[in-house]
Amino acid sequence: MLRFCLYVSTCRLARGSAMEEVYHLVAGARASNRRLSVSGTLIFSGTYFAQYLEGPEENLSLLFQRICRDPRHGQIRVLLDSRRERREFPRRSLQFSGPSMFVDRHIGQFFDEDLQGQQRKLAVGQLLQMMRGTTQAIADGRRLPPRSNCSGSEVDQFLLESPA
Amino acid sequence: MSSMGDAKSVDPKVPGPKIAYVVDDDPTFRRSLLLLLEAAGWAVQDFSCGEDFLAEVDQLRPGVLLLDLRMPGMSGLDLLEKGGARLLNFAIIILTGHGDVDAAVRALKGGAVDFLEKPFDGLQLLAMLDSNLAQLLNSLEFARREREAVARVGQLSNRERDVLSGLLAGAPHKVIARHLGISDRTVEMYRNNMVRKLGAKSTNEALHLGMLAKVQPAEVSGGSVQVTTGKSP
Repeated sequence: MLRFCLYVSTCRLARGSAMEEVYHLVAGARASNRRLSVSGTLIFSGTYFAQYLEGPEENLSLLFQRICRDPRHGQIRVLLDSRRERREFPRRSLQFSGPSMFVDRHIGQFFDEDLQGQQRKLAVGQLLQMMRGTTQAIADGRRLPPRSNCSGSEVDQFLLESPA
Repeated sequence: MSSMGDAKSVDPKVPGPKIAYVVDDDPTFRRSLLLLLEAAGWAVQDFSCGEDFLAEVDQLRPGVLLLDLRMPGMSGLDLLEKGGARLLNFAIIILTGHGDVDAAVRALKGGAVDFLEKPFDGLQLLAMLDSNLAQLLNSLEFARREREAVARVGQLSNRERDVLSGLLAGAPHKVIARHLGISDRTVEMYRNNMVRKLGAKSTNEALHLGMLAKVQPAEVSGGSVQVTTGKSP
């Protein structure tokens, strides 16, 4: 049995350099997630993070505690936390997709509005669909993966794209 | 319609005009978008239907594509479906009069990067275009470097590639030599040839190229090296 969770958080990185820093964050996270056999997907929408993680119970708890202590996250809202048999995002230790105003607004709902019951459930389902959609588009070669400015380190880029 | 050059010879590092393509069946809307974007310094080329855009897509330079979702004939989603990998030169933003989340999800799955509901704020659109163009150019430049690295690594002999793979794993020459059953001197020779063939100025640069080309590092365990020759998974 695997534990999975979906959370959204506000990003505390400065706007100008946020994208650059997220690449570094993802590069580090890829390596550590692989060791913990945690897979998942991360959207950095510009203002918010939305991350889906899945893996062995203990490893996921460990990782989630680490995330909660990470100063790069502001408020964290856990939208899903449950158990399942099979992985939803098995392909990579961490897939990553870049800014989208539409996704940004969608995640914003979880902070700005007090979503309840059916309405909340619907919004969570839609967010997960968006994360699946973008991950799928990159995996299918219909969209290029986001990259940091090419003046940056290519080693980081390699880590970003190396297979799980 | 003006020709803006050959897509294949574009170097994204050379600053050119910021290019936006508009595909929308509504002439009034196209006109107002054109005025807004041109005033902000964008070079705009507009199309009244998806069929026209697809007919020219292979000749177009990289840019942002503003795509209407609902059009008679080929819809925006149809265009994404038909265009497939031919659309990788564009950051696709879907424009729609209906804030339909299901359509947005389908568009994201089809390769779109963002989704904007009409009517929208002009400044918001311009900010969206700027960040998406920057993102697109980074991705294209990286993809170009990757292709080049793959081509150069393709020139290596099996042994040179094995040595590269061993070096990527951080293995010392001695360990690589033992595994390949050759002398240290021969490893050094292969390394020198490898660096030269890759057109690299240093071993470090050669390692970068190897990483870009996704050459798998040899598996180092207990001082022995397991070289995995062949394609990465």
